[in-house]
Amino acid sequence: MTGVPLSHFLVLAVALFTIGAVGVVTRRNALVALMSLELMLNGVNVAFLAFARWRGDALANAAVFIVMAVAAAEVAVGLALVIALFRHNRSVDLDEATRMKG
Amino acid sequence: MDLTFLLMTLLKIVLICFVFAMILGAILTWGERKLSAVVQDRIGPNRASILGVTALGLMHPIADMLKAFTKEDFVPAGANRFLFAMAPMLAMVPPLVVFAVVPFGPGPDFVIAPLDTGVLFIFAIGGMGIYGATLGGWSSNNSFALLGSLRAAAQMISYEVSMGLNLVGIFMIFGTVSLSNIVLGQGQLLWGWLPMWGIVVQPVAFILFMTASMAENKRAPFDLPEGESEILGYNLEYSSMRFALFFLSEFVEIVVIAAMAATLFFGGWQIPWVDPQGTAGGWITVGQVAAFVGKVVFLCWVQLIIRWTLPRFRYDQVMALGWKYLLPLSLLNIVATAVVLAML
Amino acid sequence: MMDALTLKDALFWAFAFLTVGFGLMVTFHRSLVHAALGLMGTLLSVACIYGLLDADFVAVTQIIVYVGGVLILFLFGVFLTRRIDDIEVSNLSVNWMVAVPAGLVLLAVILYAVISSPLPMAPVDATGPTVEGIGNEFLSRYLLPFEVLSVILLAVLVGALMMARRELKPEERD
Repeated sequence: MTGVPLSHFLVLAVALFTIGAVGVVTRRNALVALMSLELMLNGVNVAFLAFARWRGDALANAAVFIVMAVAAAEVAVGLALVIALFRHNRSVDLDEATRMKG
Repeated sequence: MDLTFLLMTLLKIVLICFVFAMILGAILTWGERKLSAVVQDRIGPNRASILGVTALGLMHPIADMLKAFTKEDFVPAGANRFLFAMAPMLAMVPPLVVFAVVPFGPGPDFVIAPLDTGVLFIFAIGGMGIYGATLGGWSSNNSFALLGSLRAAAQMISYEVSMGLNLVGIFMIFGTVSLSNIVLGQGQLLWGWLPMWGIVVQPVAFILFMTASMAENKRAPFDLPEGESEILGYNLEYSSMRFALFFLSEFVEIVVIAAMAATLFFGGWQIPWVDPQGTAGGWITVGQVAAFVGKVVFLCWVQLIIRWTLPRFRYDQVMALGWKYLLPLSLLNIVATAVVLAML
Repeated sequence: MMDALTLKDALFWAFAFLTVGFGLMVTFHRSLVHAALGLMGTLLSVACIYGLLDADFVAVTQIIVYVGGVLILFLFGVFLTRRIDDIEVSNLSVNWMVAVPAGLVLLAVILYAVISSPLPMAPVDATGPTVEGIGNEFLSRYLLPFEVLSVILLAVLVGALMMARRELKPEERD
């Protein structure tokens, strides 16, 4: 495991995070926005585990586990919100959910 | 990581996945029909012959294969062609990959990849079996197929939960999730004479596990997502070899379930009271591998018998069984195991 | 041993490119189903990256939780979204002309931070299987986060059910 330096893993993590961030901002469909959010979380997890591997700490594994559980919870709530949104607006377009606008 | 290692691994993959799993799966297609015939007081398949040899109808799998290959490969109008082609492969691959961590005999020579996360790996890969059904049903561009795939996905996710929880008791008793170590742990003796097999220490978990995994495999009495004869299922639009892949994947999954149950509950390659550490070598090792294969075949037979004995559930009954009975029972089983372990 | 090292390097590069490629598919592909499939590819490649980082338990959990659970939910959502093939309705990227440059700036800033900070050069020796270590952490030092997590999951279970449920008509209430 000495072949690939830590910075490579971090660059991968950053790339994944940025792709996700752009996706969250640009996509109008609520589902794809949620998917992009998952990309961001995965990027963070890769960075976590890369640091863990280089520091030899079991805590990061536990932290990633917690992040995953929270992510799963977030998706469950997010999809429930999408369903509620679809029921009210007949659309999952985030830009059309403007009923609260004065 | 030298060449011999790679070649040995490849050889093991070919032997286990293609020779053992797929041929046993193909024979099971014959076994299922023959068994159903015996159950229903018929003769069953006996006609297909090669040069006049019928061998109790054992030529039928070969005839079926030829038929599947020569039929028209039909793709419905408006289907997503890429996903339509992918889905049968996605159904077939996970059950074969699962065999990577199943120990067929003592020591690292009889397992493709002795992973420390063995059982979890099986769940991870097995969980991907859902995609074959889901994507196959959706990409057919048929409402009935889509409904079938939704039923399949809901059923498989529901039962995966209790399937995983059933095995927690086993993990607690043997203190490991590695299949090889669980098998070694089952070589111990209780009170000096009773082999500490999973079914002895976790009988409830075994019954729950078999129920959950048969539901996971979508076979009768849980075959609502596909319903071979009367309900329209996710494989509705499939024909020829693509349908055969779905069909064969179901039978390979029977072998997977049997192999898992044999490993976790029936001592894997252990022969009771003989060489529990698996260090003897020679004919004893051969016998141990044969014992494992024998247990797998026996558990396949059990699954076929169950399939031809019980009538089909209604869908709400399937869901109620999964969430209201299996899940609480497996949680209770964990608590009971913990209490007993704490008192010992 | 050289062979093994180069094999791992090759695996890293392969999975890194797969991860980024599938990630781009999630963000930029116009079809919803392909976005979901891209997410599947990303999650699987990331699991393999975890494997390369010797985090076997997390890699397996990634597949169980994300690929076996979360993504299926997404697929349900995608399949049940109406007018799925109609790109104008189902899936349109807006203001990407602002977002992509902003994303590139973000990328540049974090990359600068990564490059300019002193990083440890050599990883510690392989720690072996991680399942036991994680289990011990969760049942000793991090027991409270673990318990809080289970309460969160329970709350989510109930909350998601409440939100997604069809509102009952007055005469249906009991």
